[in-house]
Amino acid sequence: MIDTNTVIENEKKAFNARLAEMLKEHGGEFVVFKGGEPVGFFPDTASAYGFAMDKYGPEGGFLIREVAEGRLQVASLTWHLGVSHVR
Amino acid sequence: MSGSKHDADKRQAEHRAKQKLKRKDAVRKSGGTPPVTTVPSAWVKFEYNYGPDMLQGFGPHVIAEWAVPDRYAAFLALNNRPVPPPIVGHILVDTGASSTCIAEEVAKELGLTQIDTVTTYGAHGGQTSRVYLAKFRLSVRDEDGQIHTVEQELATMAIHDMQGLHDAMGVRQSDGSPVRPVGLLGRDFLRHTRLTYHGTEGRFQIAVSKALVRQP
Repeated sequence: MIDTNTVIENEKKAFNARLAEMLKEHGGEFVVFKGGEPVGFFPDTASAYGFAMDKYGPEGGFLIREVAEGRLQVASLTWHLGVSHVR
Repeated sequence: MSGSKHDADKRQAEHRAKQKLKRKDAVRKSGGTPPVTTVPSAWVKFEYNYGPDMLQGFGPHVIAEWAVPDRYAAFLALNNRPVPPPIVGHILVDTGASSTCIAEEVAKELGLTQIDTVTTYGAHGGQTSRVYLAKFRLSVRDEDGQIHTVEQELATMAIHDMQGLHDAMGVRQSDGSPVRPVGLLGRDFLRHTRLTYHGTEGRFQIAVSKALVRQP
């Protein structure tokens, strides 16, 4: 059984190693990484996802990310500070 | 600090007098009939009444649903595999969340495909969370019986063990039935809305631009 987190962490390492190169021509686009290589660039997440779904299926093992530096991490302050429900 | 309350009151009175003159002038120019300004209703309103205690204790939740993305559903249908039905539950309106988040249990139940991970930092240190593409839907029936739906496919971070926390805290609906938490509604969605929070009356309203609303 594929450990998806480990697979994606490996794809992220490959993404970071190639980021400077990808930014030259694909900044702002969304890339699909599979097997440590970029396999396609797309205008948005949905179209990147559609490509990856058709090619690899829902079992996944691919990374979809925007080609950009200084990536903002999604977060909920309420949730991560543990104050959404207090007794 | 310059000025006094008396000065401020005087300025307000002068402003009101000017506005009154403007309106009289408009009536005069229109031939005696007050001008009618029609502002088309550009918002669909979703209103929830909890009562003040419930709203404080439970937080502003709205009923929403998560579903598999269209391309995933199409893949499953093409391969004669069943498409998981949407999951309906309570989503907490969270102005502290930069992005809308899905409950991890919901993502697993839908069989969503993970597309990324993110690391977040908070009171419990660093944590890695999965990111999925999912379809988010918010629907309500208005007083005329018409259903309005807002639908969006988005990359969403999964929140761990929302159900466990709600169960441990004993969070219940007003009739005592259990709550199914399905995520957090973040500012990526809220940027298209107007929120009204009536704490004393225990009412909460989300108004969504009609441009986002799909008619059935």
